[in-house]
Amino acid sequence: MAGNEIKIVIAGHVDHGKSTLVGRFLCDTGQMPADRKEKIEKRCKKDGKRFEFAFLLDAFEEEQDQGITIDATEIRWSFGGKRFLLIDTPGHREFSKNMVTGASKADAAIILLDAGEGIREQFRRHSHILAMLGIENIIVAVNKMDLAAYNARRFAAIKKEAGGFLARIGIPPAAVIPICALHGENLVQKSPRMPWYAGKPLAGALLDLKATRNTGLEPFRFSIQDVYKSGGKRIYAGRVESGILRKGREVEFLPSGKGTCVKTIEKWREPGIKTAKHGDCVGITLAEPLPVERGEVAVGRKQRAIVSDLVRANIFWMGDQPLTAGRGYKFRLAAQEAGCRLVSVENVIDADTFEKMDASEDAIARNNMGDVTLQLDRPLVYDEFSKVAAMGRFVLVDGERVSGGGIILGDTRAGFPGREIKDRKVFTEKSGITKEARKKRNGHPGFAIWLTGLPGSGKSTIARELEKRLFETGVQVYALDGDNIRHGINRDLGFSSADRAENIRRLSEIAGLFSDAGLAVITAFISPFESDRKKARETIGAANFIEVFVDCPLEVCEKRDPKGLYKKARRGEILNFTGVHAPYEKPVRPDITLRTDKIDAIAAVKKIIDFLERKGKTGTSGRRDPAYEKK
Amino acid sequence: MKRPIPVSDETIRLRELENESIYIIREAYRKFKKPAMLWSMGKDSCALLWLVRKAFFGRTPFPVVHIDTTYKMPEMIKFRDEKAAQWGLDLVVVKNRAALKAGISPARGKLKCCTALKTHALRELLKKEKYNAVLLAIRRDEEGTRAKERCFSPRGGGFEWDFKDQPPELWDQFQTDSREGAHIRVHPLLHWTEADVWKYIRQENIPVIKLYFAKNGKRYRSLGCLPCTAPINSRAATIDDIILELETILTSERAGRAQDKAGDYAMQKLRVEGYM
Repeated sequence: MAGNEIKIVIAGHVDHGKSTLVGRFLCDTGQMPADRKEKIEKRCKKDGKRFEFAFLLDAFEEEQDQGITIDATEIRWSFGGKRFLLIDTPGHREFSKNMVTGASKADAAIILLDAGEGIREQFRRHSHILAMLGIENIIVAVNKMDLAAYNARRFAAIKKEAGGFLARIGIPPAAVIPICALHGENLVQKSPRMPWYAGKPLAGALLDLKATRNTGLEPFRFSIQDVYKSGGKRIYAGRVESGILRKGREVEFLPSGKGTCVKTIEKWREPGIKTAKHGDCVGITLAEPLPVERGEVAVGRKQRAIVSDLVRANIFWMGDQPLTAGRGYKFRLAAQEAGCRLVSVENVIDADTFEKMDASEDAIARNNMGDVTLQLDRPLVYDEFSKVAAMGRFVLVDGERVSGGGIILGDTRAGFPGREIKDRKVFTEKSGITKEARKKRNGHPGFAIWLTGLPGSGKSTIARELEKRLFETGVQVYALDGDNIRHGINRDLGFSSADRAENIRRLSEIAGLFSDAGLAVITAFISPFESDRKKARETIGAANFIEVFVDCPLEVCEKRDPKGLYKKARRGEILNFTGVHAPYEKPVRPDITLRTDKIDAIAAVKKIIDFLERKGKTGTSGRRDPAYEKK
Repeated sequence: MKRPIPVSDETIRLRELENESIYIIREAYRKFKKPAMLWSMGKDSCALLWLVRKAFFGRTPFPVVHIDTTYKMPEMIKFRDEKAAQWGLDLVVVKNRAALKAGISPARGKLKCCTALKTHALRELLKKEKYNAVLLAIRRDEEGTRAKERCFSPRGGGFEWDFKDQPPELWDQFQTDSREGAHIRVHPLLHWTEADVWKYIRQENIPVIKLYFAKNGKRYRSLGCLPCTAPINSRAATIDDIILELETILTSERAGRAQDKAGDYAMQKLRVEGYM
């Protein structure tokens, strides 16, 4: 990016010659420092080995001893009047995170292939990573042609296979070049041993590459990094992520939606700045001093960005633990940060074939990639990666460590039709019958009892018993059964995380309608996530929502195992099973807690009824049934 | 209509480097409770200090630490005190008094001396002041292990660098969380070259110590402790001369630094323990 420098990442499978290539480039163009060369010569002589060009990059003792690259190295190189930054990366699968680190800043890539070995796993993985990162300038170098007897046919076969693969994943190579890095053939000079090759040597092909440039026509985005008070002024320090910042320009801050004009552009010892462009770190002052904070993004009036708490993305996972639904992560994009959770995995790229396949479970293992939907805990500002790269890429942090990188494909409103549902209360008003009138007719208000707990904790038993008991005392009551609903209104839903979330959303809506209609409704769903229960509470209305935590230790639930589901889950026949693979988030402040390992269903129901009576929910109909008392 | 003034390749490059560094500096200041920066008064850390002042519109909002081995060149100490007063710096000078008292010196082992008087002095200071981020002016092109560094590089509670398992770093999303007792090394100049630094010093007119300029056919290319730093043969008496010289020179910058050559993988050994 710096100046007219072109940043080139060197990718490819283990031992296909990446570090040797870079070392050789520097040596053959007289850019290897004499004292470093001497050091390498000394080391190689000691081991009785030939000069190792790779040692210029592989500086760690462990790297030189084992002949491997552990971490990425950046080294500057100039050739033919152009400046390059060569980014050497490790080929080993376990160091893929270091390859991604190196590749994330590249404009172009050289992918190396061993002429003897051909396409291997890491060639495919690296190619997919480059495609995801949006690196479209690709040159393939078929290395170790000496070991393939400089055979034109062998080269043609590899060229066809590699070119076909890269074209299929959207990054067709600009050139495919036969080389021998070790002997410097077809690197800077054309090799007389491969007269059948008509193209340019590798260095010549690099001169044809163009650095990716921002045109300045992208929509304007200025990301606030921090706010300083300086000399009585409030300075909003930030970076122009795309487009052009102009003094006097009217801007809107997202997601807050506050708007004003840019009064001045500030930089130390540079008064009177009128514009700042992509990449510039400057400060601005505003016509009105708005309470804008780090993370907010200034945009132009007609250049709205997406503001959403849902993200559909292509992601590469580098964490020790797999990316899984239910676990909390931090989502970071530009200077924004929010809590986040994986909703679903639409597809993963198979680790062996590197073809896209449907996700069998909602998880992505280390060093794999896939298309996912993420739920943020608050709306953030972003763009599609293809429209504004800097505002369309993010990382996921697991604990304290950056563990995943992704590019945004879009927001997922379309996949979540329910999110657009309007406020239901409009309907109630239209009906012309008030809540009070319904209460009077039924003798009690409408309400929802939301039972939540682990599978086998006793929710269904309690729900049936409670329904019976309330019905006997004259309450208009109905227990919603999860399975029945799945046969009917939710029969289009499966068991992916997205479908589970939608299942709970629809159940909340139905329970809300029942309680609006003046009925008592009982639900018995695991509903393991606090966020889903919080949404249910909002949908139904906090005043009518009674959260009952059916609390029973996992060991007891598993021992009961009424439907044999725990056993199946332990055998791996059921995936994403709450309590076994997926977490259960205990309610923070339930209205009622029932320790079902200590009390039976009858006592549990009594506890709920006592609560309802205290709150006046059973109303005039709440007469005691002596028969029940005796039990 | 006014024609735009043509902007040179060098100006564009320096502006982009400056932007990247300022972003890193602001990020460190925002994310860490107690940051500090190391200032050796060498050209690199002088450039870093300038960038810090630029990032905060003239202020230097955190302490500037000089690790004084007591073997530094007198010109450096004079420069330090003069500029600290002129720029209103919160200057913190630390020495490993116990090691000095015990007679640690380059003569009794260069690696041991560097580790005690620099690494351990810094470690004690961090422990005492609870700094959880340290900004310093290392660059990738200085030597091999630095070439593999991250912009935000975590160090453990024992100061160790886990170079075999560095965190991913992409799109300016840095490792900004550190465990209790650990800290993060922040490297805003990591992607600069030696020539970039000199060109920036020329462009911004940043004051530097005169020892860098040739006198009687010798100049210091890199400044350190007097016993372990050798000048090079040079006639470069101005910044322009130095920049020209760097285009043709074929030895690396730290070739005059004795500790780098004290055995195989000397710099790796020093840095794994927490050396800069």
